[in-house]
Amino acid sequence: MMIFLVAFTKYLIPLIIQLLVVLGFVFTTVAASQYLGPKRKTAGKLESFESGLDAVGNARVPFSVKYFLAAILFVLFDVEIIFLYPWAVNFKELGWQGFVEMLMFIVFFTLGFFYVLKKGALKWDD
Amino acid sequence: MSAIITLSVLGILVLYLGIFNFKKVLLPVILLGLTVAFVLLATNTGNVLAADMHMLVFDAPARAFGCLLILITAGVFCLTPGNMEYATKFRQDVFGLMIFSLIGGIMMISYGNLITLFLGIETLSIPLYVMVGSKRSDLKSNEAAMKYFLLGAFATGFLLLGIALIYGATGSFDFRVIAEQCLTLQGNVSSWFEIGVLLLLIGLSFKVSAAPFHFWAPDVYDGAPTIVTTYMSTVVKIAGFGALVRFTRGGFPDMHVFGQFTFILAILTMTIGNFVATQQKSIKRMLAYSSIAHAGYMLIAIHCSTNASLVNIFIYAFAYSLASLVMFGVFMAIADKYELADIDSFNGLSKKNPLVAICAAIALLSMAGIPITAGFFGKYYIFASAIDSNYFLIVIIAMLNSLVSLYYYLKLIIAMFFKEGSNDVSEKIPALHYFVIFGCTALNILIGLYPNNLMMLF
Repeated sequence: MMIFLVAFTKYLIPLIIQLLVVLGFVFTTVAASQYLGPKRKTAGKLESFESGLDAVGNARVPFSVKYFLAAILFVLFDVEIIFLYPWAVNFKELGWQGFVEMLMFIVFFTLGFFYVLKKGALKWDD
Repeated sequence: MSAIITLSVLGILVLYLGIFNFKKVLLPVILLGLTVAFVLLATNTGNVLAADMHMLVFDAPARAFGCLLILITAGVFCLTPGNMEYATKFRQDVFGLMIFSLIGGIMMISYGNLITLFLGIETLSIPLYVMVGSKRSDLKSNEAAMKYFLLGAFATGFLLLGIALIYGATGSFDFRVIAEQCLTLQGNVSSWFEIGVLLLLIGLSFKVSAAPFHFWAPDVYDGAPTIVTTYMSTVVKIAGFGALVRFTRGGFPDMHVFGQFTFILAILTMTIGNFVATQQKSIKRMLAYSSIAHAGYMLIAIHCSTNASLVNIFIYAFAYSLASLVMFGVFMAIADKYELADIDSFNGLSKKNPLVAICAAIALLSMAGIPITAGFFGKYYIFASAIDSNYFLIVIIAMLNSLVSLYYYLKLIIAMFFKEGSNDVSEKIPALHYFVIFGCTALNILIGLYPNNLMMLF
């Protein structure tokens, strides 16, 4: 029982104080900006922001599943390319061993890309 | 290690053979590649690449389990002709995924580090999620894939949290370091460590479909294409138990924090599996529940953790997967092709194809644990070493469970031998199919006659 009490005062009370401060800060700032800030509603301001273009139609329309495939493939290859950066930074230190390892990585990677191409995953209209 | 590299190259090769339309040579290339990997793994004595990091350790049990995995996978591949029509377009994808998944299985039974254990489980599971859903037009297959994926991801969360807690308590992922810490602390391990071990066991018991975590198994086994179900109920189960027994035996020589847990798990798994299996009408679901029950028997060996646990689980897993291969092979040959799933579809098989019926009967008797089959010795060794270490209660429950299991295995045998068949479809079974059915039956009886020979592998 004593141990719990000690643990409570030692670890939990500072945590609870911090939690209260954090929550208090968030609510205070949001409420303050709501009440103190000026409000001027114009048609242009209330419109959803679409990179400067006027929004057309509803955002919730079905669109082709091919976009998902393209997006997934993009993410996949993009993430793999990130591995090239640390290699490029440490190019001299890693030397030939690093070069061969990276070459293997890129070969596998290219094999995958070639497979995707051959499989017709990037063919847009069929 | 060389076996893993061979298999990786084989997987990529299979994908490429597929897109360049060499579909005829697909199966021979796979079987050749698996043979090469088998030989490389069986003769692997020095750990060339992984030794210094202690990431993967190919010791004798790892080699035995790995060779078993490759052998059974080859058996599954031999069953594919005639059973992959649903996926003719995506055949090489499923084949490639199966090989990649096998790599994960081999990592799971040879890990020396918790990171490689996690990596192995993920490499095994992620292709499986896709394979389960590979019957793309079938709603049940999609449902199964979704269910398996969501629950599998959840279980992986438990596993990872467990690994994180073990790391937090011991400061290492390395099995040797963890074991050393356990020895020096002599039971005074921190509670984090015990919680971590428990969570890790939960994650692994999900993979082997042990009882409170088994709810995905029947639906997934039922919904997946039967060839994938065969793979899951054999290879995935062996890999899961290989990982479990390696964890309980390899890392912590004398720790019983998980005693209570595995005790409850084993009893629940056996009882639920067997009793629910008696009520099933669909063969696939019945085999799914029976595979849950078999997981329960193998959990006894995990619970009564002795030096013999490794070899006992190996023999049991070997016997069980041989019988499973035969049963799924027969089921695919005579019922699954015609979209039949009921036990009635086995009616009168002994008249139409007596040899196959006898093989199926031997496989069922082996699953039930009747002597001169491998299944008998699988059960015998597990029960005997449990009694040696004074675990009487669990053995009694297991024996009662075996009696229950006899009921639904005999139901199938009665259907085959004593009932009149109604459908007169003339079965044309591919030669490779026969090869698997007869080969596995022969091996099954051979192990039943000379069970000691398997012990020498360890």
